[in-house]
Amino acid sequence: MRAHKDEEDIKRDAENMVEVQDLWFSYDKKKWVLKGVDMKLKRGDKTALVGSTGAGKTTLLLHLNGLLTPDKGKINISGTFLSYNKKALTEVRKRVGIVFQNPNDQIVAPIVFQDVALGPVNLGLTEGEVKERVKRALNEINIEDLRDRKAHELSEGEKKKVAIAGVLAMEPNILVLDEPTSGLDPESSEDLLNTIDSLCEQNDNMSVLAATHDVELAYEWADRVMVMREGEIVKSGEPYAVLGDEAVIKSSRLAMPRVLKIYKGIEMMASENPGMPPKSVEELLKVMRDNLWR
Amino acid sequence: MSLHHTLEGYTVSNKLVNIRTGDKIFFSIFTLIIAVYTQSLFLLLLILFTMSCITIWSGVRIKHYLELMTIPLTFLLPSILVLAFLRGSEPVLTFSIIGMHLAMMREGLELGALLMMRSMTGISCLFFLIMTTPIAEMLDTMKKFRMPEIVVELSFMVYKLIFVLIEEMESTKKAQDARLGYLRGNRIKSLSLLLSAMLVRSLEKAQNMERALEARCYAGKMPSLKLGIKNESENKVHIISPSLILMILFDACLLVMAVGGSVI
Amino acid sequence: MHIAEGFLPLEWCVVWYAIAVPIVAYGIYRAKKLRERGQGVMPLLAVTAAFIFVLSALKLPSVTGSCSHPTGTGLGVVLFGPSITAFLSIIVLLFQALLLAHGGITTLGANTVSMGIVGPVIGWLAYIVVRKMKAGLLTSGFVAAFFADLVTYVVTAGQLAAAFPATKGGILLSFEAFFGIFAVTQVPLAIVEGITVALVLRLLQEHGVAVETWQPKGVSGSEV
Repeated sequence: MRAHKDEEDIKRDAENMVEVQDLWFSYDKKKWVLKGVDMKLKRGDKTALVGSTGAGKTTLLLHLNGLLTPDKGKINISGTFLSYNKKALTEVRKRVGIVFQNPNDQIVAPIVFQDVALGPVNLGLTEGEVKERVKRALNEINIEDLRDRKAHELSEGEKKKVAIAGVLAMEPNILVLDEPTSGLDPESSEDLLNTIDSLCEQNDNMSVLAATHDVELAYEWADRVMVMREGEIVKSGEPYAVLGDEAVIKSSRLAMPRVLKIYKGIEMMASENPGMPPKSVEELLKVMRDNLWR
Repeated sequence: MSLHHTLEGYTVSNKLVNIRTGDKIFFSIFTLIIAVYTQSLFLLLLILFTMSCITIWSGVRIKHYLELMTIPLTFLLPSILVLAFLRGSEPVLTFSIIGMHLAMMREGLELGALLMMRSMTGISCLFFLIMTTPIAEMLDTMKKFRMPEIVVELSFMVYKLIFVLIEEMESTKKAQDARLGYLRGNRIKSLSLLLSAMLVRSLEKAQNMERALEARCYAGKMPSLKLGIKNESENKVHIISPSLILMILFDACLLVMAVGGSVI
Repeated sequence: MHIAEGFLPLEWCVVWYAIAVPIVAYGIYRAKKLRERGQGVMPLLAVTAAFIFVLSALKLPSVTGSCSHPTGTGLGVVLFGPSITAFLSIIVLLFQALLLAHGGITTLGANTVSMGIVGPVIGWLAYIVVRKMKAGLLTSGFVAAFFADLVTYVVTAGQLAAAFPATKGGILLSFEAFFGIFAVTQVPLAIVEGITVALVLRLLQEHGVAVETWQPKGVSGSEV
């Protein structure tokens, strides 16, 4: 982030900010699923929300565009507090787009372009605008060739992309992904992450929040990491600082990313500071070369 | 699920899919009403033949079409059999079973034949609509005709869920079969376990679906397949298209024949 | 068993539609009210309707080869009461006509009256009576489903008899005949359906879905 910010930037920062304050929620009025969640998303950041199954990740995400109404607490999207009337909800749903874990729940129309057009059509846009948005959304994640395909014939990875395109057609500036790589083979999940990365590069206003239980993914992909445990956010910050905190990781029933674990070992063995923590296997090899095999 | 793939498959690749949905609904229902009104076997045959030809021409396999046509027979055959004994006074065939004297009547048999024809004709009208028009398009037309939002939304969710439920049921049943769940005596218990497991899982599915729809501001509007036409000039909506004129002409002829009394 | 497309004369189609439409409209109104009251109503409505569809498209093990099938409306009436069940039933019947050629458009009114209105209303009344007598959910669910199923067939037989009375013996003989041929399979089927719906209700309750009254208090559940 640049040190000097002009006015325009500050304004845009406010527009793309998400802030959650002391959020409490329960499905059955007996057991709290969210217990006072506080969190913040900054413009242009790629944030990973990490937690084991049942930590409350999905429940938290569903609050971000008003699909669930909190029992207590406030959600501030782009400078306005979320209210729960139809008009305000339509507005927030244009800003915050959620991609659900299972694309089969999300894709409803038989043909790809029909499904991508669902959001814009229901927003009451004209036919020309709808077509333009569908074209742009498909283009943004590079699936123009799927436009006329039947949805039920697509592969899981393709379905996931179509689901994302359907959300992008609403032109949100905050993209929320629930377990983006679940159910995908390694190649498709890497492909998907690259797609999301290039999406962020094309549009530096876009903030992305991804919930996942995959610490490796969170560590390699995210700019910032938040760890969630039993309805609370226990730690957030730089991926290295958060996922390298053994106490937090253990008590949250997670595992430390392997690259980081090896690096920690090197740190203990090496006589001097081994340098910046590595993000990838390649960077790790470099650290090993510099410190152990000298 | 086979049902899902055949029906959706037909409508998506159908030659008549681009004719306006409202026109097709109007055509099939109006023809249907004429079929129910008329007493003329000739008219019924004419409708049955025309409708079946159009539907099969538009892209349905004949074998599959004929198979589907036999579905209502399980209802029709016993009902018509009953009528044959009940109606009229001129016996054609008499016999007795366990001390009861039964007589099949001429009038009853004639009525049975008419009803059979009429049902088959009605179903051909229905098949024309189903096999050329995706359900999503029909629901969208319902929305245009000012059906309440909740009706359209619920119908849409039900339509999607039917296939989810059937898929769930098939996979749960496989799991149960593997554990010998359907052995004699266990059946009702297995069945209700199957149904409730399916129900709970579908409930979760339905919740996810509702949220996903809500997240995209769904208000009952389904994007039209016409959006897919790339060429702008083809996309102009004609209020009166050649196909509509043909459909109206056909129905008008039928109406004249039906009201004009027995033509043949 | 639904009355097939084209089977009823036009005047009877109109009569049954005229009876069904206002009741279904009231059901739509009630469903709207219910939806405004809380989240999670639409999914439960949709799942119940889809369940009625699947159940009535299902051949139960004991009666394979017959044209009888369960109606499934007993479940709807216990969960939502009779008017909403009428609304759900007309959607189900429409899809059965459109997807399975089971029933029809012209006979939709008649089939809604039998499967969606009279059957469930009787099932619901029976449910309330046994509930008042402090019967458990299992028993009351059985009773509701049993009556909803059986009465549906009685009404269907009545509709057929009214449209096609016997030349000698009139509507009554006709009714006896129609009911006779369908009763053979329908009575055991109603019992099986009663047991099935009762067990489903109990298992639903164990899963935390509110089934105590016909107005769901919202669906509780684990994190999705």
